[in-house]
Amino acid sequence: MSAPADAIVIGAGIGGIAAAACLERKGVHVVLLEAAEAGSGVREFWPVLEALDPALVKTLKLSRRGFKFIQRDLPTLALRQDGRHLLLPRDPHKAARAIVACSPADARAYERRQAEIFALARRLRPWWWETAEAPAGLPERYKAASAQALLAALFESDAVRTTLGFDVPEPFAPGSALALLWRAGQEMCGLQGARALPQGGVPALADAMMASIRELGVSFRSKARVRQVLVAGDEAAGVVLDSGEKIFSRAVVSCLSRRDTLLRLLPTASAGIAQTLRLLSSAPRRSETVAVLTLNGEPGLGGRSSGGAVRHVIAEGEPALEGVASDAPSPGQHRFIVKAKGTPTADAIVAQLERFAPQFRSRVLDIALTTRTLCPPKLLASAQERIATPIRNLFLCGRDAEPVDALSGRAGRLAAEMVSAALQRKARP
Amino acid sequence: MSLQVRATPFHGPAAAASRLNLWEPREGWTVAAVYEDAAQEALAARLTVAMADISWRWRVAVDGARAEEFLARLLTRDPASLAPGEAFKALWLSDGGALRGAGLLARNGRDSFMLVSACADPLWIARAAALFDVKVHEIAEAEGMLAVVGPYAARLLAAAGLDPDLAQLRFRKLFWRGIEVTLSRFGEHEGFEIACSATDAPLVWDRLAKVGRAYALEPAGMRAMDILDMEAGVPRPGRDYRPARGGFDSMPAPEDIGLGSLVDPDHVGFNGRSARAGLPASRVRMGIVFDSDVPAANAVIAEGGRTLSSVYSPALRSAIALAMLEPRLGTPNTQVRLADGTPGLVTALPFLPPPVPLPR
Repeated sequence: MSAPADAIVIGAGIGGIAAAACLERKGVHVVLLEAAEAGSGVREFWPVLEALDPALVKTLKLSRRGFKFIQRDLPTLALRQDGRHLLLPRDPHKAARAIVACSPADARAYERRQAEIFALARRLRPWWWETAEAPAGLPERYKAASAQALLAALFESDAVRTTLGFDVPEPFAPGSALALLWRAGQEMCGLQGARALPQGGVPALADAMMASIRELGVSFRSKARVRQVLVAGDEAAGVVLDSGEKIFSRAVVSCLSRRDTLLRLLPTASAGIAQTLRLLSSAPRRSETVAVLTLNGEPGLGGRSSGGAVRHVIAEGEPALEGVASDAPSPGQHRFIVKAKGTPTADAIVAQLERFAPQFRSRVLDIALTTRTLCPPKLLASAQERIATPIRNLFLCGRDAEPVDALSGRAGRLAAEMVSAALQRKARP
Repeated sequence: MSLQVRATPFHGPAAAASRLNLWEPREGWTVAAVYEDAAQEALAARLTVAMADISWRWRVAVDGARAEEFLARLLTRDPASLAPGEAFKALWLSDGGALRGAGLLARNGRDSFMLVSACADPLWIARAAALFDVKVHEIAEAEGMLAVVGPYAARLLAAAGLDPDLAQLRFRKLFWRGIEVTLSRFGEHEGFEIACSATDAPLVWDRLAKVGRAYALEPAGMRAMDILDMEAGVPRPGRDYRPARGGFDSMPAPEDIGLGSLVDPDHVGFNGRSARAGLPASRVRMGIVFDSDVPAANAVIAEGGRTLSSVYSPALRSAIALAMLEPRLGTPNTQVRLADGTPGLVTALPFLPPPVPLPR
């Protein structure tokens, strides 16, 4: 049995590292457990960041730990079969000028829409970024409308609709219009709505965060897979590792999904009978596949902007995918990373790209695929609902605790606040 | 027009004994409402001995290596405290802490239990049990159950060849002149229950009826049993409260019905425990004896509160009601009045002590 900790964090994903770092900064002694052999538990190959928590970047002083961006504002290039590609920079005026070619009316509507949505999104930040009680000033139509319906009402051009709706999970689902607001509310490198490319990709982010927790004195253990969360009554009391070792603590934070945490790590039905039955019947429905392609030449998809790299988006045909050029693995080679919706085969991905870049297949030297299931969006759930669990002092901090499944770290920061508050309440007589 | 009759194993002899042929539905079963006179039947249970068909009660067998673990999670009391042949009363709650069910858990063996309740909750119990790989199956179809209640209950059973030496909340299986029965003492009236196979039910009835003549045994219908239940002060689901049926419901809380005593504060980890607010009940459950013969169910009490169910008590010769009252009214002998002016007197529960069997 190990010495007890104030808090245990399960999983050194971005959310777990964020939770551990924020807790240690608050004077809470943390043990961070990671099942992997070494290093962090971050296994993210898609290099574009769009939702990284600015408060986390600042609090952990990541820039001083070598975390830098090679491009802070990645425009989107929507590829069209008819060759009339649509380049959408973040600047609404420049984007409107590009949209004019599709539809002058849409160009006018776009500028108005961006201003409205960006303002509304900023007002909603406390709801998604902090622990606000309710979403202030959210128009009812966003709660009920699908993204598809909203965009159809605003724009006439299919190119504009599909490009703007590309990033919405389940765009036909009621309430998915909220995802448009969530996306508009994100901020990278001080730029609202931006997407950024970090130098060294997400591994560099993970390395910088790991450096932060080492400096803070977080106890980190790799090869430490958690088999069970210990529960005393209805309160988390520590963990049991696969090795049988017990580590007691006053709070536990899990980077795993709600489903995995409550079904796999807890005694049967500890989260509640109804809750357990609900989780068992709600298996994840969506997946995404990241393909890392090594090429012997440029991808040939065209459209490189004057500002540097672009994010290519293909919404026509299957699979829908986005791609970005990344650091070349060796001289003479190029790397192109694709994120596709669903679980397409490598061949299907290459075939889709070849529709827009003739002979693309002949340039492919290697392709490596990873697929993961996506957590459903929880845009109307409060931070408390997303992060707390039916077990007292057991919290979630991973992607499943975010409003949208995205690499953010925000849930980790908020989980740390909740743990700290809970421990203070416990300490009071 | 055809009527659907779901007959209990005792339907045949009950029908033969019924003078009025009056039946009522109870948990989907058709049971005798009255044989001749509900008041007379209720008084028989209090003064001599009465026999009632309680086969309509929902009974499930719970079996499996993790049965105890499952029931510890399900119920507000820990089944580890039960030895084979013992039983206790407990509740089960939703995730939100609301009262879903109240019943009795009896332990047959290490991995074998029986749950009995006046209100079925089959889907919840079955789905929860499946999480623990525990088997649940209903036994009311295959088994009949009679209640024998009254001061002469023990003597009647002894005369019939059944040893009545059994403590409250205990049971035992035995062979009774060639048939297997289970003799128990589960009820609130300190009587006995005899469970038997559906096939043997008419024989069991006949044996008891034959011996019972010497003790003025009367068959008692549901109306008489309801009078006894009311006099015992026991709230019944459906009659006095609506059990929660949503998995996350938070109302009614056990304390709202006056059943908080069936939650063991030392038993941790039962479903719904973490959601319980821990607040004291805003109402207390008391009895009211009216200065009237007319029952007053679900009536507003002018001073604060409401009656639940109400019947005429032949033993007290007054209408009585269970009531949820504001705590300041919860002192016995407090005068209250219904909204229509009917006066009543608050009383502690039970209204009457149970008809304890005389020793044989």
